[in-house]
Amino acid sequence: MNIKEKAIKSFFMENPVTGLLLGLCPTLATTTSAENGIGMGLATTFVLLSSNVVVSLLRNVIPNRVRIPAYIVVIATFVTIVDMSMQATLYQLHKTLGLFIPLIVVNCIILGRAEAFASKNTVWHSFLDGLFMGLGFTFSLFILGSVREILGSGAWLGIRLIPESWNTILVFVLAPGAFLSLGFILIGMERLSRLFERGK
Amino acid sequence: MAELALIIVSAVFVNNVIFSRFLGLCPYFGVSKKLDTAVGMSMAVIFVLTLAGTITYIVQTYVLEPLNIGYLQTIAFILVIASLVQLVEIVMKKVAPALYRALGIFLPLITTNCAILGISILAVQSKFNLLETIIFSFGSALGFGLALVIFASVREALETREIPKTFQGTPIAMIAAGILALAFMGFSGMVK
Amino acid sequence: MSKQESGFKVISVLVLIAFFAAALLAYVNKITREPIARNMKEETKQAVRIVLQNLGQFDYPDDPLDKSLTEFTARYFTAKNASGQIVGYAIIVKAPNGFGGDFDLMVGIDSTGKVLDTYVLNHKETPGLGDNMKKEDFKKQFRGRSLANTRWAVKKDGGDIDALTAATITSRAFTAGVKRALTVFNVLNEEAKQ
Repeated sequence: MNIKEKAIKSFFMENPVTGLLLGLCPTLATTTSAENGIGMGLATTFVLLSSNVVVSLLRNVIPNRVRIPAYIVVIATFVTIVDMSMQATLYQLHKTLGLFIPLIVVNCIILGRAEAFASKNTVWHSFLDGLFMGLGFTFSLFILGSVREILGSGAWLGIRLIPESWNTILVFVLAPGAFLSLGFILIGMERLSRLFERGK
Repeated sequence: MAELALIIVSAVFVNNVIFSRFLGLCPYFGVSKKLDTAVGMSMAVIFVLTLAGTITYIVQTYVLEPLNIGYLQTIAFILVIASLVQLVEIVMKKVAPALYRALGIFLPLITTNCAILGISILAVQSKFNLLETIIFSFGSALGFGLALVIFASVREALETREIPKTFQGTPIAMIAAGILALAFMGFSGMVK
Repeated sequence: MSKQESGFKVISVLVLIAFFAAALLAYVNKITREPIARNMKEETKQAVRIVLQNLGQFDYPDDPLDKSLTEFTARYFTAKNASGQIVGYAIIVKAPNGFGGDFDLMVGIDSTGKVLDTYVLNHKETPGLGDNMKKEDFKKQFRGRSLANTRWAVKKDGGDIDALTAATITSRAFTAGVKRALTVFNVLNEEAKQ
């Protein structure tokens, strides 16, 4: 597996959010700021990576008939671990992301990668797949979070870009702004992906 | 009674699952291309979510809390939901084959609909009692159905319009959803 | 993989996985339980220090006490100076009917019944609108107000409080919350005199 190609693929063409349209709920819900986007992305990456490795390790042990429930148990376990450790160490971020931490369980990307990739590939490859898919997901969340934070709050990563007394385009922090921003980001990412395809 | 009516109005309109809570977006974009599939999906979600809300409430109150194993909530709820969906599928096939033919294909998709798990956890977090949980789950599912059916009609209408090439497909759907969300913000403040 | 496995194997593998999962979670729960509890407590204590910072040196208990009134319940910390005199209270109330439901509000009140400062503990108000209640611009108007010297409602409803732009519901809830805290103060103050 060519690592560079894999990285470009999972950031652009096969990006979980902008390419495959998976995991939309946490994507739209938690990206009110760039920082929250990164937090959610990394939490998901950890779960994706760990569950990919464990599923790959157990790929010859888990009976085919019950593989889905088995994967779900593995994923839910890692999600709960993330949930508890974040609450212990990153208390404020955990409070902001709230409900969407336990909901990582039903993020289709994770079960999707377990079923489509980790159950058929070696541990090392599954690890890389989890890592890059996770980072690709984080990348999308970071972009969306940045756009919404800059337009909606006039700040980026908590750093103020315009004076506090100026008006910002509030709607971008609110629900409608999430959909609108993602719509335009999809167009941009589509263009970029095409550039990379041609460059190959 | 007024309390319960408030829960329902708030769940359907003000805190709509899609537009305000951001739950269940995958099926929202996935099955909204045609109106009749949207209606089928809505029915299936209303049915399963009401049941799931009720059963997870019972699991939380009579199993997890007495045993002091609240940290197994995520794992327990998702297993309950996955088995429930299987069970509904089997029972429906036997008892109501007509209904099964209509809703059957949507059932497997429901396990990974985060609205089900999300609403179940929210009901527990809001400290609702059993009746309130049932009403809340039903209302939320109804809100999901409403959003999905409206959106499907919009997308069907979009099919026949000329859309700039760049916007075709998902981008225009996303923007339409944004405008609908803007409309739903008009409900905010309706329930104090 | 495609051959049918025996029922025994299927079940034992599932049970084993579930067993390991539960054991692992029990372990993680054990090591994270204390830091989580500490974080929650620390946040509350931090808030007490913020809302009572103008009082100078004072001591307060580790855990809040409960106070039930007929209409609502509250929790409170009593702040005492070195000689044991009560110098103020930090009172936690539910601000009722905010935009995202009730939210937890801590109000620091000095011994004469005047508001010192406020701190929002848990809330689901809209980012960018309702959550501006945490900002200095909104908070400062409450300082020095007491039950007697203020009409406790937003200006729109004939009171003295300037509502946040486009967040009247949040402002109403906040105002009602501060009023609740002052009501609790009156009860506590009466009790302390006896």
